[in-house]
Amino acid sequence: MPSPADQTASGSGAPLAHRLGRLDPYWWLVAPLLIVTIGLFLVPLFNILLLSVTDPEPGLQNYERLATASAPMRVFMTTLRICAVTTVIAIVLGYCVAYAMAHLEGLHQRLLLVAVLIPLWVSVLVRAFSWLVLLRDQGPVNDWLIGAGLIDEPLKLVRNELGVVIGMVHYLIPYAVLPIYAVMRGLDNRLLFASRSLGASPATTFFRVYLPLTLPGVFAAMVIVFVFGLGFYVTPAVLGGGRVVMLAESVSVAILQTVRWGYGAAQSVVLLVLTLILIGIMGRTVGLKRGFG
Amino acid sequence: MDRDLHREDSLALVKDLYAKGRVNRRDFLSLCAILGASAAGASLGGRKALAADEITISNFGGDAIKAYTDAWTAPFTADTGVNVAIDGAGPLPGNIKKMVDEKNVIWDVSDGDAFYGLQLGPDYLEPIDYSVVDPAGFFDWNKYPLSAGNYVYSYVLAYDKTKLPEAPTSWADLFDLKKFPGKRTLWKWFMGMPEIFMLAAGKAPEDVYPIDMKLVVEMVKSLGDNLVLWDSGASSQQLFLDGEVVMGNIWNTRCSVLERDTEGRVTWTWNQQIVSPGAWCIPKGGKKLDIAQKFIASTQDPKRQITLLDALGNGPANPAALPLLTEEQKRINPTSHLDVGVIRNEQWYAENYDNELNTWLDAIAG
Repeated sequence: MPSPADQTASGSGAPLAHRLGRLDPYWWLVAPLLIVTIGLFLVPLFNILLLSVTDPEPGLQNYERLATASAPMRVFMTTLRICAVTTVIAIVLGYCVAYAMAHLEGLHQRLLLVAVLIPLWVSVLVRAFSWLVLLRDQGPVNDWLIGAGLIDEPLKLVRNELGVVIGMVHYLIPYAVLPIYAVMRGLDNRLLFASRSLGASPATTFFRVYLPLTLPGVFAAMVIVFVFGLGFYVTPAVLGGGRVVMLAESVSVAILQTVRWGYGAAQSVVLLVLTLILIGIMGRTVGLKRGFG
Repeated sequence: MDRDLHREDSLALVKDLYAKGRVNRRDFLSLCAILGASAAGASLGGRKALAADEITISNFGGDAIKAYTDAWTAPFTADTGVNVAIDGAGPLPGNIKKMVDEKNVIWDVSDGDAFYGLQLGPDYLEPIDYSVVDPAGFFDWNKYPLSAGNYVYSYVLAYDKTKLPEAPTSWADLFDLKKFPGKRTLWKWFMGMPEIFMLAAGKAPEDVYPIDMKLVVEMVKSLGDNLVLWDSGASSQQLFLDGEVVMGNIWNTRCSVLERDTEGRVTWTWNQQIVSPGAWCIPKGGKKLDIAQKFIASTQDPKRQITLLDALGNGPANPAALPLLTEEQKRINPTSHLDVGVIRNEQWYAENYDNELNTWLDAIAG
């Protein structure tokens, strides 16, 4: 129901003071953040956009190069492919962990939560190098497998896309677990009892009732994991063995080494637009709002 | 107010210690943080805060900070009273461009490759003043209007004796997977790599340039899964230490260290080395041009360059140093083996690095 204030303000001849009066005081709480965001984020972002069409000379040649050369196209495809694979694996594994966390009690649940959170506090660089040490040809994993007689040749676990995916999944799993877990915790368990008491098997209950109800959390997790993954820099650089170049690294090459800032900026803009489009598509098709509560 | 004064005084002290090398960079940064100042504001950036008799030079960090101090900056300070701070942040061309664009030039003198002078150009670099810097103290391939050779390094064929039937002798052997099976390592960032493809394909040293990139792509793909890329000197060393590769094209500076650390298991050949000119440059907009030029001149001293050779394996950029070398120093010095090498063509890189680096990254991803 509209409040009297609303009615006054929406009147066409309402004085300015009244309109300002509509500005909820809560806005003041966000004002500092808004100013910082505009000043330190949106303005530089606009500069990047500008750079991409002005450096080294005005025009769209940076975008033309992105669209026509084969190297940047491969970088884009590699980035999208790795992010997609990573997202699927992280979501499946994350769903299992979240499910366990939601159903464990007391100490066990807290232990699991800590186990999920602790990796978040370890530097991404340390984690990448740890994986490299563990998984390389002469590393403990291959040594053990060869020693056990399971394989003759070391498995190619790092310095390729597999290594990058392993490293990224490890990094991103907590970001998959937490949104899914939040939705699972908020679920009304009586719905499951109702399903069982109406004669559905545990499997049917899971697939027809539990899974659909937790999907919003899954979709939210998917967006977070995927978008996060698009910007990965250290993990692919270390675990890809130099052979997996993703977008962030490609931008860094253009900025630092070849000093083609306009070209680097154009790649950043394309990444940004791509991300926004993906979020848009997901938002429309799967009802992102429900996921983010 | 008093507190602020005390803080400023503490900052000045920390800065001084840092400049004298008594506090390392990490401690310096954390001390700045404790004192509530950003490092940029305290010493690295704020020119006003600096004493008049201090300059900052950049290099690529690690062991090179101590080595540069011993070889170059400490003697310079002793001679002139000018303190020299070394910032090991890694002066890639993009970092220099950023500083100049932002009119916040921290590095009075920057380490780098000779081709920076050609790549960045006169909008970003000050000309070297060859009335201060001795024009005779160079080879004819490491002296440029905007960059002046400070040392010479090279890309050489390193190999693990225990993992190969016989010692490889030329780049053609690196591509011979039948005779020399096993993984090989090349530099991810391309420079010093395409030359070896041309030599392996049988081109004469004088016909290496212009590089035939089609051939490079074809040949690098032929290595398939046997190719491992190194992306830092340390990683190239680690690959050999761990026995993950049997041979590769790595910096000579890492080879002598590897030979020592592996007790001769890993060694190298100078044959067909790709000789590369390291060089000083002066980012445009620095306030202490005179001192910068004098500092560069001081680093030409043959003895100081030999000190650096002993510490890091970086070869003297001044030919006058060559007759002074001992046999052991000659053994690890790239400029004592120029007869079997190819000089990297800085002009080719200045013109083609942007495009061909991308071609290369695309090819090695395959």
